[in-house]
Amino acid sequence: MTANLQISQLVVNRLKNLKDVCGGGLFGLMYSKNLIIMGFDLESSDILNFKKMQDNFPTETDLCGLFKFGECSDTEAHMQEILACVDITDNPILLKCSHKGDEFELKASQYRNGKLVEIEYEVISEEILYRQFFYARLLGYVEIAIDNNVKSIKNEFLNVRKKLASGNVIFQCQDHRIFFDTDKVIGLNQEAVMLDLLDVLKVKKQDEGKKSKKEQIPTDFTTININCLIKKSDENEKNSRAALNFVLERNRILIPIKIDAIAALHINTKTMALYDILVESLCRTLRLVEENVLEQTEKVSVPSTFHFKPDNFGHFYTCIYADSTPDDEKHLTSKRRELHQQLGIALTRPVFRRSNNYNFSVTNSSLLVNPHVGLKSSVIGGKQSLVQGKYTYHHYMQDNFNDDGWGCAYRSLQTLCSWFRFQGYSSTKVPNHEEIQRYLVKVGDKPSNFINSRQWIGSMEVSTCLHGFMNVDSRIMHVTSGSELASKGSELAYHFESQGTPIMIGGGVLAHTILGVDFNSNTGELKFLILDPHFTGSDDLQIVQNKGWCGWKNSSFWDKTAYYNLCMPQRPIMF
Amino acid sequence: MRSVVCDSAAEDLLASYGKTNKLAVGLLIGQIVENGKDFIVHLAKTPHSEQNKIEETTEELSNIADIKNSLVAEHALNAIRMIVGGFNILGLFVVSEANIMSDNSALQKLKTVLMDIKSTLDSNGILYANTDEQDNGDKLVLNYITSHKNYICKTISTDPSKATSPSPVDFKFVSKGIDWYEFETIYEIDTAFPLLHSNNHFDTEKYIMATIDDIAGNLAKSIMFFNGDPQSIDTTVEKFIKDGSGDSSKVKVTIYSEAFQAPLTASKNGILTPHESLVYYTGIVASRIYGSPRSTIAEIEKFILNDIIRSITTRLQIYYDALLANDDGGNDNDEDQDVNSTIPPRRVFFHPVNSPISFCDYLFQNENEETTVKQSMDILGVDLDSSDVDISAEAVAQLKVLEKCDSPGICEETVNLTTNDSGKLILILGIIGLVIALIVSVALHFLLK
Repeated sequence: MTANLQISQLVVNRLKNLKDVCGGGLFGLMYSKNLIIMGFDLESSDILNFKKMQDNFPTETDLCGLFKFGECSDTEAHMQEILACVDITDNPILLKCSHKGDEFELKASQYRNGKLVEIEYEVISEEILYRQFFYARLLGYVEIAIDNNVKSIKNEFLNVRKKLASGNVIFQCQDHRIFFDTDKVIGLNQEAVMLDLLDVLKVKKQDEGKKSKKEQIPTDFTTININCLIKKSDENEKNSRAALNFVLERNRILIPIKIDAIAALHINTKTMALYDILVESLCRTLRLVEENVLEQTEKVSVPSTFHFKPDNFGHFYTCIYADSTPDDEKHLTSKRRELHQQLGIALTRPVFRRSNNYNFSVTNSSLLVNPHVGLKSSVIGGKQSLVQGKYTYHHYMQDNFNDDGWGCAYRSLQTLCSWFRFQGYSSTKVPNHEEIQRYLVKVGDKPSNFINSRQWIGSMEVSTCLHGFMNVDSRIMHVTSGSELASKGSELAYHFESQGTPIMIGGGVLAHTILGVDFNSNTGELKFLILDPHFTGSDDLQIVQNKGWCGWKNSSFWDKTAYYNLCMPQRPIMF
Repeated sequence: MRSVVCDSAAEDLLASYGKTNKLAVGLLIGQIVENGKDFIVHLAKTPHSEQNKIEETTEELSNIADIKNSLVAEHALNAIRMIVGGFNILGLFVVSEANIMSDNSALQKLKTVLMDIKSTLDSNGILYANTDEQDNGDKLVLNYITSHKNYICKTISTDPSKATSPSPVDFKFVSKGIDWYEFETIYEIDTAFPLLHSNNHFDTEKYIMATIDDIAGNLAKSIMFFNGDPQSIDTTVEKFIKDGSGDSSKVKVTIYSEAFQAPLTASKNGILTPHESLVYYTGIVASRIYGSPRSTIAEIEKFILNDIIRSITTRLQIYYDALLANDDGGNDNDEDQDVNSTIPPRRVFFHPVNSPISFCDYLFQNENEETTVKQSMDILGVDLDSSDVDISAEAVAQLKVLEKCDSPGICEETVNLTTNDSGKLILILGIIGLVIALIVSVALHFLLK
C-alpha cells in the first residue's frame, strides 16, 4: 500500500525561494495512510548531510526521499544512496523542482518496485498544519558517569540507551495522572487517539483560565510536556533481583543530562503508540548528547539542549551546545554557518544562537504574544507589510508598576526589546523603567535625578537604549506633522519588508508602536497597524482587539499639529 | 485519650514471663495510626538474664533500678533493624510483682531508659525510628502485674522538660486483631553519587551514609502504583481493597522516580571535573510493609519509603560494622579477613506463626537461614524453623566488575574485587607451582636417567 503524499505549505514556500541548489533530502512524517513532508536539507557535493542531521529533527520526522532542481549530476549520484537510507517507507519520494520564468513547478513521484511513478500531492496550509500536528516535549534527567576517553563515553552512553530502551521507563503527562507504559495507557481509554489526549489536557486549561478569552487562530504548534520517570520496581526476568551492592569508583566524571526531546505527532495517532515514540525520542537525544560530548576536547562541560524553530520552517531542529562554549566561539560559529547552508538559510539573521531557543513557556506568560494576529484591514487593493516574527505586548500598569500617564514610550521600547529577544539577536532581558532611566543617566543623556522620576522619554532615547541594551542601531524618521505620515506609505512598507522590526513613534505627543502598514500604492490609501501602550487593563486578547488597543488606524489617527519621530530599528547582520 | 489495642496472645506471653521472671522488661512493637487506635503487634523481651555475650548481665533482673539502659537501647537498635517500615518501638512493657505506676523512682528510671532508646535510635542513621511527630514523644509503658494477673498501660513523656507523671491510655487486649494488608515492592538503585575522598573506612562510611539522605529525598518525590494503577493519596486501604481487582492479600507496589540529581560541581563555565571518589550503587531493596484498613495511601507510601531507607541504612551499617571489626581484628592473617563481609548483606523475611506481620533480617554471603533463626530468638524472642525464613526476596548481591583498573591504588577500595583477586591469585600461584613441579620432575627424570 502506498501512502498519500502531502507537503507542508512552508516546505513549498522554502523550495520556491531556493536558488543555485541541486537538491537534498526530504524529511517527513508517516501517519494513518499519509506521508507529509515537513522539511528538507540541502546536499552539496561531498558529504551527505542528512545522515548526521537525522537525529536533530524531531522524532517521527524521518528521511523519506529527495528533491532536486534540474538535471544535477551531483544529486543523481547521491540519489541512490539517499534512497537506500529511507527507512520509514518502501516508496521513497522524489520531488522535481523547476523555475520556469516566474513560475515554480513542483512534481512528485514515488519509487514503486524500482520505478518512478508520478503521483498527486496535496499542499497542507500552515493553519491546518498547526491544527493537525503537535509536538510532545519529553523532559527528564539522567546522569552518566564516564572516564574521559572515547571508549568509555561510547560504552556508558550505549549502556544507558540500552537500559532506557528496554522498558525501564514510564512516561507521564505533566501535571496529569496519565501515564504511558510499554503495553498500556493509564488514565485514558486504550483506544484513545492523540486528539482525545489533547482534549483532556485542554479542558483542564479552560477550567483554570479566565472565561471569554478569544481563541486565536493558531500560529504555532501546540506542545504538551511529558515527564520521563525511571521504573524502580522492574519485575521482569532481566532483573536478577540481586541485592543492593556498591562499589567505590575513582576519578570519573558525572555528566548531568537534562533530557529535553521533542516528537512530532498527528492528532489521529493512537496514544498507545506514544510509548515507543518517546523511547525513540530519548535515544535520539542521548545520541545527540553523546556526539556533543565526544566532540568536546580535553575538558568535558555540561551539554545543554536547544530547540530551534526558524521562521516559516514548520518544524523544530534540535542542537546540543556545550555550556563552556560561547556562541561566538570559532568552532561553534563555523558549525552554525554549516547549518545555515545545509538548511538553506541566509547568513544574515541569527537562527541557531542560544537566544533563538524556542520559548515553550511563552504561552504560560500573562503577556500577549503578537496580539495583532487575526485583525483585518480594509484598504481596497492594499498590500499589507507587517512586523516579522514575535514580540510581546507591553503597556501601562504591567508588572504591578504604575506608569499611567508617563510610561508609554518605555513600554513601546519594551515591545521593541522583546522582539529582538524573540528573534535571537540578544539574550538580554527586557529592561524595566528604572533600568532604562539608569542607562540614560549612565551615558550622560539625562541628569542623575532622572532615575525614579516620571519623566517621559522620546524616540531618540528609545534609539539610545536599543543600542545600549540590545546592541541595535536605529534609523530615525522625522515628520513635521501628523498629516505628513500619510505620505510615508512606501517608505514604511519597505521597512517592514526589509527589516520587519516594530517601530516606535513619538514626538510632540503620545508614543505608540507601529506594527505594519496596509498600503495601496495606486490610490495612496494607507492604514497603520498600531499597538497602543496606554492600555491599562488586563491582558485579554478580546478586549485588546475589540476596543482597538491593537488595531488598524487611518492617517487621521495622528495629530496634525504635532511633529513625530519614528525610531526604526535595523536588524544587525549576524548569524 | 490515646487508644491502643494489642493481640490477646500477648497477654499470655506476659503471664508466662511472670512465671519465670521476677522482673522482665521488653519492647512494645507496633504501628501508630493517625486519628485511630495504635496497634501493638509484638512484644520483644530484652535479654537481660539469659546467656548473653555481655558477661556482667548474667544475673537475674529483680529490681527496676538494675535495668541496664544501654542493654535495652542496644536491644531496641537490633530490634528496629528487624522491623519493617511503618512499625516502630512504641514503648516498654514491664512484668513485675507490684504495680510500678505508683512508684515514682521506677517511673523515673523507665523514663531514662526510654530516653536512651530514643537517643540510640536517633544516632544510628536514618531508621525512621523516631515517632515524636505522631506521639509527641509520649511512649507507652505496659505494666503486667503478676501478683494480680492484671495489667495497666500509661504513657511517659521522653521530653526531659516534662514531668514524669504518666498519662492514662485506653488499652485493650483483643482476641481478634485487625486485618493487615501486605504491600510488596522492590526498589532498584543504579546510580552513582560523588563522595568526598578518604582512605579511612570511618570517613568513607560517614560519606556513604550521607548519600542515603539523597536516596530518601528522591524516593519521597516518587510516584507509586498499587496493583498497577496510580491511586489518590487520601484513599484508604479499605476502599482501595474494596474497589480493586488485584490480589488483595498482597498488594504489588511499583515505584517510579525521577533520576537522582547528584549535587554536581560544574564550574561557572560548565566545565565538569572528575570526582575523586564516587559510590556506585546497584541492585535492589526488597520491601514489605503492612497497613491497616484505615491507613491512607499517603501513609502506605510513607511506610514504604521508611522501610526501604531503614533497610538501606541497616545493611550498610551492618556491612561497615563487620568490615571495621575485621579491620581491627588484625592484619596479621589474611585468612582472618571475613571474605563474606565484603558484600553488603541481603535482606530476608520471616513470618512467625503467631504474628500478623513479617519481620526481616540481613544475611552475609556465608550466612544462612540458621543465622536468622538464632537472631529472631535472641532479639525478638521468636522461635523459628529454618524453613520459615524466606530468602527469595533478594538474591546474593552481584559483583560489579570495574572496567578500569589501570593504575595502582584504584582498586584498593573496590571491596568486591579483592575477594575475586585473591582467589585468582591463589589459582595462578597454584598453576605456577604445578608447572614448576612438572619441570623439576621432567628434569629429574632426564638427569637421573
